Amino acid sequence: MKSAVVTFPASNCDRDMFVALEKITGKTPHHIWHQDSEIPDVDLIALPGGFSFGDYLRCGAMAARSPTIRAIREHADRGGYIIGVCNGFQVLTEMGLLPGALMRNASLKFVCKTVHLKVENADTAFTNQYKQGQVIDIPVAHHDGNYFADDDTLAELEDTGRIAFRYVNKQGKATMDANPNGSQHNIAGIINKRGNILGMMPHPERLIEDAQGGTDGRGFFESIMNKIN
Amino acid sequence: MKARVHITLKNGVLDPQGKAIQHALDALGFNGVDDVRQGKYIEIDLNETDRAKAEVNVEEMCKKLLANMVIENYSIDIE
Repeated sequence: MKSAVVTFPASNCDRDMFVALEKITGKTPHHIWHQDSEIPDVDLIALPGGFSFGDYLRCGAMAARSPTIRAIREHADRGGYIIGVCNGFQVLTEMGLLPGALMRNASLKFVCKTVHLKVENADTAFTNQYKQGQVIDIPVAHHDGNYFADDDTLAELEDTGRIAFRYVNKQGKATMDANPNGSQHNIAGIINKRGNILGMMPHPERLIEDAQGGTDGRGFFESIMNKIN
Repeated sequence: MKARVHITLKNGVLDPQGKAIQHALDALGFNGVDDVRQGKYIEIDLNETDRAKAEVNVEEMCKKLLANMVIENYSIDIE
């Protein structure tokens, strides 16, 4: 699987993403700089976490209007795979490739901890190596991860299996206590209608080998590889 | 010309920052504050002299960048 990682000014999880992709796919990913109007032909583009452009105006708003975005849209239109993690999720909603918006955490606090996620749909390009309903542990680290969408959009996401991950407690229940940021319906990650784009606030790239304290994030990358190969 | 743009959260969108401000006002003894909603104010200097053109232009700016139409409304004053 050929992949690329986009770096915007003040991205700070781009290297983690790069290393995770390199270790799991066995191939060195390409780098894409935010000013690159031409991008390499790859299967997967990753938009990493961080604070692109200092979160000015709105998180992800500036990055979503970068020169490289046109080429990334074309990749999406061709059916190419895109993942957006944390700030990358914010960029995808700002681009309009995923519905809704990510607002300030309901607690108003930056939240940095490991959370339980339930795999709500194991039949996607990004989750097929997990079991349906499996509970995995993945770290979150964000200030603006409070997923908002209008009622019609939420109903559509629910009815069409487009919620990939939900914040849950250890027993797999989507409770208020298990929700780190106030997201509607405890939504942690969603996919687009076509199924080639996923955005999620938690960081699977931070949990891919034992040295990081666990490997629950590996399945995420292995799912995409499985889909492509 | 100067354009003054106000960006506000749509009705129904929760505003935890507004709520925190309301609580802080209450703690300072400002009673009778029913609700607080926080927004943004942006000033734009334009070299356009045609008011109608300026309005169209700033409206496009709002739609394309300044406001996120999923969660925000905008209003424009031009002088």
